[in-house]
Amino acid sequence: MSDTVQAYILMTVEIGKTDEVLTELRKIDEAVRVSVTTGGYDIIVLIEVPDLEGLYNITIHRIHKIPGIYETTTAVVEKMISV
Amino acid sequence: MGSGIFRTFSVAFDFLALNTTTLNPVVFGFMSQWVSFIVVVGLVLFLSIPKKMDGRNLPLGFRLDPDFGRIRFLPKKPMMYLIAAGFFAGISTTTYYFMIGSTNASSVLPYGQLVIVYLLIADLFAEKDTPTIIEIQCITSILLGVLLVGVTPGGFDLGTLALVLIPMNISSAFVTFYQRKAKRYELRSGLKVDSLNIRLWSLLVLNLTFSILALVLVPPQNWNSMTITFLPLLGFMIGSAVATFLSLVFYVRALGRGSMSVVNSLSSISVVLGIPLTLIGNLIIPGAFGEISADTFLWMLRVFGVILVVIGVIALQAADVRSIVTIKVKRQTGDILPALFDIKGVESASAVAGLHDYILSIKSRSLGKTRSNILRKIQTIPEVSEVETMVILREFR
Repeated sequence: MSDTVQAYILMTVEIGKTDEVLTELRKIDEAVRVSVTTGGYDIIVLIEVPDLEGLYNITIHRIHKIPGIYETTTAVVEKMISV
Repeated sequence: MGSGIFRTFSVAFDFLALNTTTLNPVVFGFMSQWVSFIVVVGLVLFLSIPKKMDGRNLPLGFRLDPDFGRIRFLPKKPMMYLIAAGFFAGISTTTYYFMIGSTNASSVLPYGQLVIVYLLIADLFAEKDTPTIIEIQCITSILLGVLLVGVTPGGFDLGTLALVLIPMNISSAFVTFYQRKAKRYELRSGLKVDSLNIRLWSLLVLNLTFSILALVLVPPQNWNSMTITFLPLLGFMIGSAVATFLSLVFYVRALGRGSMSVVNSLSSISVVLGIPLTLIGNLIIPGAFGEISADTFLWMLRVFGVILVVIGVIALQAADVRSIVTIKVKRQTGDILPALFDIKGVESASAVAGLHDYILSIKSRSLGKTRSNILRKIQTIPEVSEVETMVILREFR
C-alpha cells in the first residue's frame, strides 16, 4: 500500500496563458495527472507527494510561482478508491 | 508497446516449439502451462524479497504494483472471482492450443482482439444502453478484420472461426470481467488486490481447468511422447512463460503511467507484429511459424484484416470522453465513497478536504452517455447536494 499524500489542485488561469502554465506544470515530477478542463476550473492537477511537507513545497514553492495562474484551490485526498 | 511486443514473443515461442516437433499442441500446452506456473511462482517469490526503498522495507514487486506485499491467500470473495477467472481462462487457453496447431502466428494475435467486442456488447446489454456510432463502427471494423485475417486458399476456415468466436473470446471476456472485479476489491482501507497475486492464483486455476480438459479431449496415445519432448522444448516453454509475465508486467506499469485507452491501443501492436513475425520467421527457419501460403492476394486480405482490427481497437479507445466531477453532500451525510465508486464509469473516487467533499474521475464513450450512465446515477444518490462536471479537453500523465 502506498503511504503518499495526494491532492487535487484546481486552478483558474489567465486568458491566453494556458499553454505556458501547462508547460511549467508538466515539469513537476509529482504532478501525476494534468488535465485541461471545461467548467469552473481551467486546469486540474493531481499531485502525489510523500507527506504534507512535500505538498507545502510543491504548492507554495513551485505551483504558486508559475506565471499565468490566477487562483488555486487545493483539495487534499483523504481516501481514494481507483481501478 | 513493450507489453504488445512481449505478447508477440510469447506466441512466437509457442509456434516455434510446436513446429519443431510432432507433439500434439494441447499436450505441449499442458507442459508449457505448468512450466509457466513454476516460473511465475519463482518470479513472484523473488519479487517478495524485501528491500530498503524510500526508507521503508518494501518488496521488490512494490515497483510493479504498490499493492503487492507477498504471495498470499486472498479472502473468500476475491478468491472466488479469481477461481471463476481461472476457469474461463482455462477454456480460452485450451482453445488457443487447439488453434495454434492449425493456423499461423499472423492469425492468432488478431483473433485475441475480438474479446473487446464481446466486452463492449456485454456492457451495452448490462446497462440496457444503445451503442454510439463509433461503437458500431469499431465493432464492425474488428469483426470484419478478424474474418479477413482468417481467410484461407479454400475460403473461410469455419472451424477456426467457430473456435475463435465462441469458446475462446467469450471465455476471455469472462476472464476480464472477473479479474476486474477482483482488482477492485478492497482488502482493507487503501489496499486492493495486487496484479501479481491475481496472475498467480488465476494461473493455478487456469492450469487445473486446462489439464482436466486436455485429459478428456486428447487421446491417450498422444501423451506418450511427452517425456521425450519435455527437455528439448523446455527452453521454448520458459521463454514463453517469461515473455507472458513481462507482457503483463509492462501492461501494469503502463497503466500506472497512462490511461487504459492509450495502453490498450499501443499494446495492440502485437496484432501488427504477427505478420512480419510469420514471414520473417519462416524465412529464417522455414515452417517454424506455421504454414504460409504464397498467394499474395490472400496476404493482402490478411493485411487489410489486421489494419481493420487495429483501427477498430484504437478508435474505440480514442473515443473515450473523460471528465472530473466535484460533489458536495448535504449535512450529516455518512460515507458515500463506495457508492460513488460502484457507479460504472467511475475510474477513481476521492474523498477530499476543502471546498468539495468528493472528486471523481469518470470515463464514458460519449458526452450523452456521461450524462445518462454516470451523472444521472450520481444525482440519484440522496446525500448528494451539488454536482459540477468538468469535461477533460486534454490530459497529460
